[in-house]
Parts: sequence; structure tokens; C-alpha cells
Amino acid sequence: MCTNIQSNPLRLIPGEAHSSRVSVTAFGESAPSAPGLHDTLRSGEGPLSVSSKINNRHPLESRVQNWDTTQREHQLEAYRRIFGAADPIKREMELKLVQDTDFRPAVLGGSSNLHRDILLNKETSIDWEDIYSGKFAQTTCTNIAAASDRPPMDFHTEMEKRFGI
Amino acid sequence: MVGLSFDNFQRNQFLSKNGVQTPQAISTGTTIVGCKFKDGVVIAADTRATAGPIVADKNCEKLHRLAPKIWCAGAGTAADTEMVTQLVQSNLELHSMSLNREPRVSSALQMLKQHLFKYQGHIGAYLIVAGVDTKGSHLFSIHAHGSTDIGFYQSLGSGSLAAMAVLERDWKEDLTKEEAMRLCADAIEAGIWNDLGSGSNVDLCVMEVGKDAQLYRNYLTPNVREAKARNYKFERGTTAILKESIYNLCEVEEVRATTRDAMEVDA
Repeated sequence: MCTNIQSNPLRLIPGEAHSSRVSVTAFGESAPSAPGLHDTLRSGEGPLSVSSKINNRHPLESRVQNWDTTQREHQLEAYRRIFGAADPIKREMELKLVQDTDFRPAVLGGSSNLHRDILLNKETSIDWEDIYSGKFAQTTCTNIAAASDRPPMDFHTEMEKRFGI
Repeated sequence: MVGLSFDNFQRNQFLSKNGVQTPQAISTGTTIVGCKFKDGVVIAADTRATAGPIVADKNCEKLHRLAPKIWCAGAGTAADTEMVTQLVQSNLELHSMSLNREPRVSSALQMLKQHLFKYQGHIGAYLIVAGVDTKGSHLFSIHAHGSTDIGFYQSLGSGSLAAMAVLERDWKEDLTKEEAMRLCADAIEAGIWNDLGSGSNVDLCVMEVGKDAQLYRNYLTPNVREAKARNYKFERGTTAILKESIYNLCEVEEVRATTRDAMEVDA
């Protein structure tokens, strides 16, 4: 799960996404040689304009992007208050286990995420996100406008990233 | 970018700031109604599709199937009503296969309103959802922002005022099926005649408890195009036949196929 910008865990819908601070590496991978900088050469997008990534976005964009995360946070917070902290911790651990073990290289189409969908109670529903799945997107963390239509990451890069080389 | 793409938003803003004409909001035209009767529900729609002042399609379909016994009439942006109902149709099917039960109208309603609420009215779909399930017959209406309504009769679209006038006048409790069909068709016809955004024919769908839903495509066709007074087509036989000979290009041989037992299927 990506870090959430909302602070109120009982939010039903995503709030306005006006971040008070922003980092250069929030909108893509950082360069391996200079971890504090955006990897311009490999992003395939040219120079990064941070202001265009945070200003003048469509009002719907952050809402749709953060929708599932907000719902999930809300649900976990409700579980925490009803059953205690152990319940959301267990759920998140299960999700993490499944996400880390369910691996298929992106060049072969990526994982089907069936087990993740079952844990998130999404295995019997379909939405635009399942059809326009952003398979060509390079980043794993779906920050706002972090990923666009780019060719899938090659196998070696993916493995390097998975093992933190 | 996962899901819907907002990539061109900043470009479009820049273009409109520099004097490029952006598309203006245009009103959409439709009349759709629904009304409940003794043991079922009827929905009806006109069949005119407009693109601004132009009639884009004279006989389009505004009744969408969500499930075999749950149908939905759509007003607003044609593409949005079409895609949203298709998405909910898929979801209902997946859901009913997973639970091994027939889908309920309230499930369809919930899926539609949650989806529309998520997109804050940017999906311009105004829908009348009707159907029968284990709990009887139901009739709901949904607006583009996700608000919903329950009632014995509903009308939506630009011709909704004309249609509602007819519904208010003629609706009574415990209508028969025929009366309800008549009433809905009358209400749509009021829209067809009195609203410029609606026209052409009346489509109708009847859902009765314990029976299959029945779609009456072009139930009424009050706007049949007149035949032209004159044309250039020559009648058959205008030219006299001087000589005629018929011969077979190939020989046809009849062979009796051996009958096999019918394949066994689960009833």
C-alpha cells in the first residue's frame, strides 16, 4: 500500500489532494546513481516538471486515483475499532504476503493478481481499472500521475528492483 | 495511467487559454418513463438520438439489459449510459455467478449509484432502473451525481415534464399489465410530440413477476416516413420478355442423413 495523503482515517471519499510538500522522486523512479534525483534518462518522458504534476490537474483525477485507498483505509479503521488492531494488521500482512509472492514478469504481461483481488474482495467485480490496467506503466507505486503509457519494464530491471540491487 | 486518463486536461486548458474554441455544453434530449403495475413493472423510451440540433439516429435503442429480468432506460450522454450499463451488466453477471443467485434490482441500483457518485457527475447518465427479483418488482431512478429515487412511476429526460403530466393524470394503483403498457406508451408519445429532443418511435419493456422480461422494440411507430410520390424505379415487367430458358447449373442429389441420438445435456 502506498503512503496515503489523507490524515483522517474515517474519510468516506478522498479529500482534496493539495500536498504541502513534494519531492522530486515522487513522480517516478529515482536515478540509481543519484537516489535523490528523478531518473530522467530512463523515464522516457523527458525533463520532469513538478509544477505541472501538481498544479492544474483535473478535479476528478485525485479523487478517482485515491478512491480505493480511501475506502480501504476506512474499512481497516472500522475493523480496528471493532475487533482491535490485530485484525487490520493480519489483513495487511496477508495482502503483503500475497503481493510479494505472486510474481510474473511484466514483460510476460504481469501477474493476474487473483489472490490480491480475493483478499480485497474484488474477485467478482470489474471496473475501468481492470481493463485499462496501466500494464505499460513502469512504477509500482501509483502516485498521482506517476505513471503514463510506457513500454513494460524489462526483466532485469524488474528483478533488480524486487531484490533491491 | 490506470483507469481513465486525464493526460490531455492540461493541454486542453492551455489551448482554450490561447483562443482555441472548446466544446460548449449542449442539452441532451430524451424521454424515458417507467411505471409499476399490479405484479410487474414497465419501462419505455423514445428512439431519437440528438447531437445538438441534429437528429443523429432516428431509431436508436435506449433500453439496456442489466440482467435478464432487470432493464434500464437511459437519458443523458448516450455513450455514458451505454458504457455504464454495460459495466454494471458485467458486474451483475459476475456477482450472480459467484453467489449462484439471480441478481436483485437493488444490487443493480447500488452498483450504478456508487459508480456514478465516484465520478461526481462527470459521467452524464440519468437512468430509470426497473426489474423483478425474488422480492417482487422494483422501479428506481438515478441521476448523474448518484442520487436515487423510488416511486410508482418515474420519468426522466428533457421530455420528462410532458411524460410526467400524462403519468400524473392517468396513473392509479393496481393497473393491469395492458393499462400500464398503454400508460407508458402514452407518456412517451407526449414526449415525442411536445419535446423537440424526443421523437420517432416508442420502445417498451415489460417485466412481470415470475415471467421472462419482454422487450417490445418499436412498440408504437407514429412517425413512419411517407412513401415518395414519385420515383425512378421501374415496375417489374416494364420490359417485355422475348425469350426465356432455365437450366440447372449443378445437379442436386438428395441423401438422407443417418439420424444420431441427441446429445445429452443437463436440463
